[in-house]
Amino acid sequence: MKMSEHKRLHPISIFFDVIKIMKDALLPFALILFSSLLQGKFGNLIWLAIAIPAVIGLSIGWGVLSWLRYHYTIEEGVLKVERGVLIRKKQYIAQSRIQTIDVVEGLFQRLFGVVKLQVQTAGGQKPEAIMSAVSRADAEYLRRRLLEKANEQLGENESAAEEDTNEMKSIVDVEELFLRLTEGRLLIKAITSGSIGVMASFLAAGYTQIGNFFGDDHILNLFTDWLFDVPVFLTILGVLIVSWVLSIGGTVLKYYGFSIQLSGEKLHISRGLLERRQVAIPVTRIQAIRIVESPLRQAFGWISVYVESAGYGKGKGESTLLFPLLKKSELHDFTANLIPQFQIDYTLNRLPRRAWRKYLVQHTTVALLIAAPFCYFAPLGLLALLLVPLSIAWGYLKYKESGWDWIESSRMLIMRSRLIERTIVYIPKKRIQYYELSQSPFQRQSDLATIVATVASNGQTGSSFKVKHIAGEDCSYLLKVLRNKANL
Amino acid sequence: MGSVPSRRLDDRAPKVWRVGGIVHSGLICLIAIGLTVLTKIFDLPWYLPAIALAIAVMYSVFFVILYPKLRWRRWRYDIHEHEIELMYGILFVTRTIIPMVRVQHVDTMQGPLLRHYGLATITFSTAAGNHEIPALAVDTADRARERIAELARVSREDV
Repeated sequence: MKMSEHKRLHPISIFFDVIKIMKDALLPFALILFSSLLQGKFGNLIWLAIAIPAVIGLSIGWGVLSWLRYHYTIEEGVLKVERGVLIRKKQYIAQSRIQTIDVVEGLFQRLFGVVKLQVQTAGGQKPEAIMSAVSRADAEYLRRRLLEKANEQLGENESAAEEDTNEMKSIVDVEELFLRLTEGRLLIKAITSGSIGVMASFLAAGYTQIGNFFGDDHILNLFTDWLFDVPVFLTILGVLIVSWVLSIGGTVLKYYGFSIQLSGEKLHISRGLLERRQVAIPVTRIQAIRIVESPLRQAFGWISVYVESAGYGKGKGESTLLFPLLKKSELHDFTANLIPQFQIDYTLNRLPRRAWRKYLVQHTTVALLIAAPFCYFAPLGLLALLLVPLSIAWGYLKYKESGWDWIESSRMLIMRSRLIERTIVYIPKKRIQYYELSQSPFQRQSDLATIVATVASNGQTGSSFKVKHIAGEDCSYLLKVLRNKANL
Repeated sequence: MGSVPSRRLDDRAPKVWRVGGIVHSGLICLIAIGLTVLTKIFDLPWYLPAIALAIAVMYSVFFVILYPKLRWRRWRYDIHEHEIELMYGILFVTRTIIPMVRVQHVDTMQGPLLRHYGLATITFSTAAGNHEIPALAVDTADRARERIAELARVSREDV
């Protein structure tokens, strides 16, 4: 193999190291400078004049040393990284344990035509290995070598022949399945992401019109005057609009040029305007699929598709996004092409009628508790009672849209629920790490239970999905199918 | 929700939990007494220590008298060939089922308190977190640990 000799990072990593150390040292220096200027003591400045070059010199030395110390190689299916100046570390990561490899191109990296690689396994400290600067060619080579036979452990001599056939296959696949987020959709995604802020500002704008509507001395007008003293109102509106625009900008930067493609056994996702990020997720490591519909997007039939994969977690946020925005009608083709093991059609088993009472009681109580202090203290606070019907309507949606399904042929558990967003999660039975039935005293009374299924994702604790208030007999059925040994 | 698991924790479990309860209610009571002293010194309103003492008393009653008994009464477990089943919780009752194939490793452990009473806790892990069966007699715990380890190994070879 070409790769048996030890390789180093791109020398530009020295520069990155220096920058990083200087950045860390900047704050204490700035503090010293600031305090000595304040006190008018310039003795400290002389000290700084010595310290700054010293730190620069040391950080360059440190950068060079760590660059010299950093070696990596792939031997017999193991990625071996040796690094460290004072504390020397040898990391051996078995290829079969590697979950994902991220390629990140930050601004600095792009400037010098290199990329950053992050290698992750399930569990442990994340990411396991960081290579701050490797040339594109090396990155591509590493990625291919490490992910190609992620599920096989082959000796050196066998792998050469194997590699050729895999290469052929992946070239064909690359052409076939490629999906890109269009600019139009990116914009829709961005505009609808801060949906609560948007709604709030529209709502507030609506309030100001109430005055005109009712005439000058109408009692409601007094209320709006009290609530929206003009300068206060304008400030709030301004803040909302600015934060909305910022969130649009952020979303555009993050998801610009989002594309996903299936090649070999991996899903390759790449995204970002300033910082390009490429993620490869082995299809076999996907634990569950999540379809999320926020209220605003649901109204227009838009959905987002997420993936739960071991090696990634919610803490890492967007890396679990499989596609930012799809038409509901496109979902079927999307999954059939990219993740065919997930059948997305289901028939929802809804909650029993008696579950509605639980939501009704809960949502009425909470709304009343929130409204009560307003009613007592605020002028015209009785208007806060409007919260009650709103909250009940929300509870009704939760009740109406929650449910579950079990698909025998693909042995898949499907759970649908709503908090604010409606979430549908698809979990193959063999991915469920453990599951739970739980009952509160009230649920026990009416023979209802909450079901929770947990998959390996999100680091040590896993990700849990639940549906509340499922009928007792349905729970027994689910327990039966989930416990059935044949379904393992 | 069907039949409940059959095995209970060791009879001595409530006693151990009670001793644990006495220790941390003792701490809470000390804080409440300290507050009473402070009130005397700084001449604060009388109801502050009263509230603190009431909380301390309720806490102690719950964790020394009620909780150990109730918790023990609810706790059940079973180790089947293909899964481990746990049931626990006083108001909110949870039944957890862990398929044997998902068990990654299993340990028994004892704190000083458990050791004094000859008890041990079994902990086992999956790729999505740990679970435990608390307070079993040491030999029961050891046997259960061996059994889980064996079953987990076998079921993995099956798949």
